[in-house]
Amino acid sequence: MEYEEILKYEPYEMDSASKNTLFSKYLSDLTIHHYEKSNEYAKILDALDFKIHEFLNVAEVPFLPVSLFKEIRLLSLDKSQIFKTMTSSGTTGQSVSRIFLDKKTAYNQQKTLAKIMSHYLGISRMPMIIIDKPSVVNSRENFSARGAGIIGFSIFGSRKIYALNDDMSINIEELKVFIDQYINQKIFIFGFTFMIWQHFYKELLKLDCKFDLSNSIMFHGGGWKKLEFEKVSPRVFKDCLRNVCGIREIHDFYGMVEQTGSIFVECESGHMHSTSYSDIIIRNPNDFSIMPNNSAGIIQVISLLPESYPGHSLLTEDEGIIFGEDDCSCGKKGKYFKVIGRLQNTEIRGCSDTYASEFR
Amino acid sequence: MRVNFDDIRILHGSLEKIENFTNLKNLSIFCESVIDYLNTLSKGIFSDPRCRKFPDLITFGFWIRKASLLSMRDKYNNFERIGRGVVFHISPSNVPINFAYSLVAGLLSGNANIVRLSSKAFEQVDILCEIINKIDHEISNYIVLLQYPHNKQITDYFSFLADTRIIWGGDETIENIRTSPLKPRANEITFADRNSMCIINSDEYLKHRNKDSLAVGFYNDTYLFDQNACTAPKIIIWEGKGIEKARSIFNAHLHNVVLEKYKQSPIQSVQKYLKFTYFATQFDHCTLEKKDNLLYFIRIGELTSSLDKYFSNSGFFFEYFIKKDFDELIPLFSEKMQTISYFGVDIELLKKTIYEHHVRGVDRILPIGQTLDFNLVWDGFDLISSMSRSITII
Repeated sequence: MEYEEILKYEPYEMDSASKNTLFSKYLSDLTIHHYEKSNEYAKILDALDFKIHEFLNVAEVPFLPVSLFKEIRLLSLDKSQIFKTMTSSGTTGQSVSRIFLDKKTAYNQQKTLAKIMSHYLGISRMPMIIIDKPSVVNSRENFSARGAGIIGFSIFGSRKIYALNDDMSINIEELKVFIDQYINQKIFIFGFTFMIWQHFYKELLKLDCKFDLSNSIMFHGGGWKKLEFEKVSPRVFKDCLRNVCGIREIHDFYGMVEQTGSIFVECESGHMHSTSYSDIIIRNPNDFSIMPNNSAGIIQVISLLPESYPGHSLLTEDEGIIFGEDDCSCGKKGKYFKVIGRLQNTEIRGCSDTYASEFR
Repeated sequence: MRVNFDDIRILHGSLEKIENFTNLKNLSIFCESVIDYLNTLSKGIFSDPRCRKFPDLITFGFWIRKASLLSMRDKYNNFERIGRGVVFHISPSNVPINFAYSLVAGLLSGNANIVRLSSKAFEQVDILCEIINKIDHEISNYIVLLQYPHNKQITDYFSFLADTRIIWGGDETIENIRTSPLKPRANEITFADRNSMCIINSDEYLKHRNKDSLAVGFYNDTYLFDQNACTAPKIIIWEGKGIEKARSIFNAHLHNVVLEKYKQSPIQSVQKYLKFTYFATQFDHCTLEKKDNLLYFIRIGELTSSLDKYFSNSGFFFEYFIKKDFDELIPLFSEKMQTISYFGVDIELLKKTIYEHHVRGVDRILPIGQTLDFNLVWDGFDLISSMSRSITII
């Protein structure tokens, strides 16, 4: 089966019955494909004593821990076919994920993202404000998750402006000109949640500078970890931005470099949604069984995109909760859910080098 | 040496007391006064009802009773040994009462002691310090307990004072502390990262009546410190004719105990799965058996010396079945191997294998359930001899 067939579906039109049939087929094919092409993937499935066959249920498809991409190279293609390698941003000192793409998977990622975004943005390009510094997409950082995210989303912008200078200060003058110029058009604003809060919202507040962005739409992603620390909830985030510049349409999204393209976008009712190209399962931490709706657990993400690397089914390190499927008040089909945040890190006992960090 | 001591938090004694250490008499090993002090401390622990909640504190209390100390003393025949002087102890962050065992070894070998405790809060540590502070005894002058965050100057200073430095835990920590020089004649005892294993004879196990208590013993050896203590077995070796049957009974018993007692956080589940999938990509032919995420058994068909790279914690066990004899275990007996715990095993045969091959590792061999028991010979070091000196008279 070809991925193009899947792309004929609108992102939020597939109900659970047709999704199960279709996903079962596609995911079985993908699992067999990776089993045959990736020696590492095959070894894991063998060690799990997993019996591969053509009619796997969605929930049966084995998942890889997302951090495994930090430990080893996982690819389901010949090295000569690598078109580009993406890495997760990762903080200093941490190892980064490396994701290997061939032309086809890279192309499908773009197409899928465009399909999902056009649901919110329409099909024509819009003037775009990127809440980041221009150098984030410079060659060195080019394929870091942050740079790749900006480049990926930039295709929806007609004329683009970076709201921040390279020293992360806000570029007020150019912003003013830009906003005035497109006063009668809808503007697309994109950025990472923390950057928006720290370097856009807080600065606007400080400068006592009121922009009118009431006719714009904002997409932000990258997680809430740093904002949680500052006790900023999604609600507060939205209210504050609205107060400072009038933005009414704000969508958070959940995605990761290991499954670029098939992002989960927050709907008008404030829930993340799976699409016709992706799925989500909440796993019980005790035994990885499936959690019932409305119970928190570990998020497993499923995407039909990854063909060049075995990343179609991944166990994340995030905690989430599914509220239901196909019946969200926003009218979109798919599972709707909330990302609670990263799993809490706990220090284990014992006498090994846990002490060392104290002595650095 | 001018040092800023503001970072130091004193739990017992004072900085002045440290300065006075040079005026103290070095004691003989196992001297009456120390035994009397420790016995008083033991009584203090048993008469404080708050201690009852903490099995580690109670175990310590028993260990320093007079009778227990005298039986330890009986193992030494040369009492013409005197403490080296000042011992600087650096105890681990995650085993609360470890500092106290280290201190006792320092006292029994006749020294004054500067003990750096982890800055982490543990209720049982607070209680123990409180009891120590209530004791008025001449030996109290030989003890200073303190905490300080990483501060090379302070570590430099205490290292400069020390005749023996003892570092508990972790290759990285040892590397860090070693940047602080010691006096020319000072010595050092370091407890590096080590691994441990367990050997069970399947036929003896199948005959064993009390499988439940053996499972509890194994649980205490491992899960009590998240299978992350150096004494905790990482691999279970099975021998005998009834391996398949025995291991499935053993594993089921263990699972019951773990299910009842162990609390695991979601991130530990994810970590174990990550470690397992990583191992599976690096090693040919392994199989995972698990009922849930509390307990992983990874069966492997051959042993290699690099296996220890994949050891993990929180209930992550490799399993190997002996095909012919103990010689198959030689790859495991590297210098990293510390403790072998066992059940039903012919120890003479095991000893023979170890001595015949002149292996670099294996410091302790003891029954399942006793791996955490503290001994004055630890990790192959005789703590009393290492912290005392003898006078040669010809």
